[in-house]
Amino acid sequence: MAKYVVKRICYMLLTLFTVASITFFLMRSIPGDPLASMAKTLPEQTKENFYAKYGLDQPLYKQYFKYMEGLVHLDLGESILYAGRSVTSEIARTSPVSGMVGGTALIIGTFIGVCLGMVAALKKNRWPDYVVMFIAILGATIPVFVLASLMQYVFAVQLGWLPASGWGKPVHMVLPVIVLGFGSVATYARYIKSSMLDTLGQDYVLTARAKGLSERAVILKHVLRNSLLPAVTIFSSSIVGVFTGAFVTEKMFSIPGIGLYYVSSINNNDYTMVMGTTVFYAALFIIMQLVVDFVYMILDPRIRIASDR
Amino acid sequence: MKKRVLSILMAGALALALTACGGGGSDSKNAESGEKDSEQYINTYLYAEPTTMDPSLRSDQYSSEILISTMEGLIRMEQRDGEYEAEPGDAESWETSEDGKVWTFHLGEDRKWSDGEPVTADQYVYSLRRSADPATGCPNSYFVTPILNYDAVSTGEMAPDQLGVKAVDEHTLEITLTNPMPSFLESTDASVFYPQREDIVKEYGDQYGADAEKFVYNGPFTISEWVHNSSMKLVKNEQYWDSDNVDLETVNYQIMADASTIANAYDSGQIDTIDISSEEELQKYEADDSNKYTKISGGSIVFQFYNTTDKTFSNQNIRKAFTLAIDQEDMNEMGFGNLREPLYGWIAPAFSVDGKSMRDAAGDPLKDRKAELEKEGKTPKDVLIEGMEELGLGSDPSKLDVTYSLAGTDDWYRTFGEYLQQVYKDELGVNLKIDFTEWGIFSDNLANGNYQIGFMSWGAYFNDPYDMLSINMTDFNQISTNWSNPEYDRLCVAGATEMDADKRMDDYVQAEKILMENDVICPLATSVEHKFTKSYVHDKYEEYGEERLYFIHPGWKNVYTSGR
Amino acid sequence: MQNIPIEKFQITGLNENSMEAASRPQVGYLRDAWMRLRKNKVATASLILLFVIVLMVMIGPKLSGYAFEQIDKTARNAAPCAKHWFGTDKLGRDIFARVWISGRVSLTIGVLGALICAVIGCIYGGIAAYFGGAVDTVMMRIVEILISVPYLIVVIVFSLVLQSKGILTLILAMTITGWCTMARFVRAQMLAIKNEEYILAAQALGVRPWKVILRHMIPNTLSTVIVSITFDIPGYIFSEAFLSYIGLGIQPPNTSWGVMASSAQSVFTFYPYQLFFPAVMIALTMLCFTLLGDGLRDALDPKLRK
Repeated sequence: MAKYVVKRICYMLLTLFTVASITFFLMRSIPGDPLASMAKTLPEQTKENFYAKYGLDQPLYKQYFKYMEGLVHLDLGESILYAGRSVTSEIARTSPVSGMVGGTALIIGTFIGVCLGMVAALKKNRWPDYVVMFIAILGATIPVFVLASLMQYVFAVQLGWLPASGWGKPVHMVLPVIVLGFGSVATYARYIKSSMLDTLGQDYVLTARAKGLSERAVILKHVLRNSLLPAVTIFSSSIVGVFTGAFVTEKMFSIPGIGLYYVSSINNNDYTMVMGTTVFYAALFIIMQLVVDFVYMILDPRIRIASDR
Repeated sequence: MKKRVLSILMAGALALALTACGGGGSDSKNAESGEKDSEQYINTYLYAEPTTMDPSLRSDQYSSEILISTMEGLIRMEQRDGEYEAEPGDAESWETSEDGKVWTFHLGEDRKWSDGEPVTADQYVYSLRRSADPATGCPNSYFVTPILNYDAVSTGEMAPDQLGVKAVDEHTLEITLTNPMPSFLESTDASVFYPQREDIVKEYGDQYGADAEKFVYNGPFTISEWVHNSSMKLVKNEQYWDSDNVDLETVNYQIMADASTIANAYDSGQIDTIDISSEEELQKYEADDSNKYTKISGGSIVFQFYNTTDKTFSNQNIRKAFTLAIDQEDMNEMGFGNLREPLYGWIAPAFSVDGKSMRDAAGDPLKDRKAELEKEGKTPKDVLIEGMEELGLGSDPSKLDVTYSLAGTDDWYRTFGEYLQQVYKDELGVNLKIDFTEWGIFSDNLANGNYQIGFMSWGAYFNDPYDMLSINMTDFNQISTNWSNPEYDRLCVAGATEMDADKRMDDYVQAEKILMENDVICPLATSVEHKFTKSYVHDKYEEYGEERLYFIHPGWKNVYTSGR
Repeated sequence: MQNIPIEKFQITGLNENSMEAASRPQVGYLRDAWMRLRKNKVATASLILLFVIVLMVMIGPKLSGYAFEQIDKTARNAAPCAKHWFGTDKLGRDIFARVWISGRVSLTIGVLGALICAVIGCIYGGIAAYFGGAVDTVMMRIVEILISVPYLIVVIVFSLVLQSKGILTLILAMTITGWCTMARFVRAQMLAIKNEEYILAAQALGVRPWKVILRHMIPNTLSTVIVSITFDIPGYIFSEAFLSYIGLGIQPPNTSWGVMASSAQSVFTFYPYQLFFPAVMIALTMLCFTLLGDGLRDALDPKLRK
């Protein structure tokens, strides 16, 4: 087991290194100049100084080594657009915000989604199934920006119950969590339903029933546990989505999260910021991947055996 | 003398929503008889996160809007009773030498920073030197360019202390210019002219201006809280020399990037002001009495321009056809949702020379040229075919390969592009291609001459037509048309340094004429800001609800609420 | 007793296909699935509705008598009426015609994108899961790396490198790393199936690896893959809208449902119908794919056979 963990961590570092390298060269291959978003004509000397400050005047391979060196020390450089802000501190500031909104939405949404999915599977082709599937389809087919504007219009403008946007008080989280969570509910309800129906048809469920186990015990002990399997894979990518993918929601509700920052950095050619965030994103993803693999081993005895062999 | 560009605004719908939001200007009509509220605060929004508060490093309009309320420069440009004029700032009085080259500013002795330190002429000198120093990398240094020795300092040939600024004594600042410049006083309203404290700059180093507490203020408000990407809270600065005349205790900014979010926040009472971005909103709020509608004109315009070194667009007839095929009225309705105003010359109506409107003096060159063409009995399509034949491209416009570059990728640009495709198909029979890119890539393409027609917005921070005209000069070539005309260059410089107002106007009018006749650019519309404020928001000197003009957002100094 | 000449006998050899077929005939499986699908009323209705949508997308733009890109200053933002059945947009263009033209792009991107990813993902994930060990490790490491490079950057770079904004470029840009999720998903599913007895049996019989993947593992993963495809189609349609939103979408004058919806969003309180029609088209298409997917899942699941 310990050997396995060490091996995985080595892989993780290798992956991180590759991703950082790819991102570095990809960013440099996109046309456009980070200075362009400020003012077009700067005195030549000013421009040169500016480039020198960020090491952009060096040959590409030197920039690359310098960047990699910084990375080892967890120094991701300074933002080009926002003078005086280090990328590391920006990530440390913005990601918890995204994590809080997205995490809450994900946990609540997943929980509701799993419950609804179970209901739909157990009451297949009866009204609870239809209701759940209706919600699920709605969640998957309404674009986030439409849902967000609708929510703002109804709850902030018409009813005046909640603020339309902002950040700082718990009340500000309600609408974004609903909007983000809606997607999770939809995804998980669908997956759990499908996977539970699969499991319900498995022989061991039949066996369990034949043994005379109560329906409750069959569902909880055998069906649910095995049905969660596909959900776990989705969960790992949703967690990363929490930190990066909620761009539209963050923009519309004025949430100072990392997704909003990331996209604006791309638009502004803020090299250091984009690369730093990308590496962070990759690291997060790879760690989640590791966690998922362990959870898999716990959830699915068959894989445990396979990996022991 | 290289005075430069002013704010480069991303054109289009965004610009409408972006251009400075909260409001506050000047003019003391009958500030409605109501009592002032006991709690004085304003809630408003910014479209994006300000980059930094460092006056030497900032480049975006959002930080400009915050700085105008938290800093004090030599003067404040304010509109009072309909007049847009310089009011005293840190400088109580000022004078200029006879040749117009030396400006002397007398600072008030009661001017203080938020930490209680006095404001001195040295701090102004330090600030300007810092901005001119190439080591700083100041993106706004063009404001400093008229100052003596700037060119040499900016290339590193001279040390920054050779710049033509001098502290005569603690409260007297002397600025020497390379050439006389009649509009210099107005230009000192820009943020690069704010004083800076060497001790504070040194103390925070790279971090200077990056956070609320890593900066020091000498304006009506200080930033008490800056939650990056989210909100900003300004509180009244008790150390401010004119704090008796500041009513607001707090100004709460929220950063909101989505137009419908902003509208929802305004409707639900979360914010007190809104700059609308669609004609539907304009109609909706105009019909609602709980709002005051202020229409604000400034110095920015939108236009299209041609790459004169491109094979096709090197031909003047082709450029002429593409210019005259545009119907500015129609475009304003279809493309800009009636939010702008059609423009037929290079200089926006807001510009004046010594109080006289330049647009009035120069007429509408594009209208005249269209009438002329009609008199000749020709259509723009005929002109295009003439041009194509001159280049040996045949006479079938549908075979002409033309790409129109737009510096924006959102929905507004897409619709605008589709509109252009239709217009040029109907008017010229050309199958136009549209290229959408982000600003960074767009400006790269311009610089490399990798475009045919482009669309852009350009704005001036102060009232001098030279600011608009100079960008087309051979040496500057700011919009990469690669066009060069010695007579035009001569007229621009002559106008800018001419102390006689009538001659100056004449030079500018002649220069614009040359520009228009060469079909280098095609002006499309003036930018107009449509601001709505809740009825309880008032301005001491210029009540909301009337048309006004400003080049820089006036900040919150003169605003108060009554009857909230 | 008659003597049978030896010539009448013939060595037929060992036919691997027939050996494999011993489990069950493949034709019968598909025909059976199709029959069961037809019995499912909801799925059949979805299939018909999808057919209608596809038909309208083909002939719809001709029906209203307006060209989808023709602007009309006199009819800006007109509400639905006899002249313009679905109303007009801010340039006075007929929304009825535009909705169907948009559908061409959206459907093509959604379906093609999801299918390409599903096929690549299944093959890749299947191979990784089947071989396991070093092969699996290397393959999954590659996927992890690909998936860790931000989607947006990949798409931006590709559309810049390819220098065009046609439909194929978009699909290519979207699927270039899009298949990775599917590959991981399939692998996880297959790892579970891999240890089933029937796989062991097939292996014991000496069936070739690729055949085991193709014949046993993929069909048994299919139900979850299908569910996943039905979810990927809206995913691609939305991705396309997002890309259009940041300017990397379909080149004008072409348009898509996502483009129409996002452009109507800012004025939806004023002209709800401009948002309604494209949004309903998206929802309807998704609904059909989802219900069809459900039906297919049931039909394809051997365990639900009677």
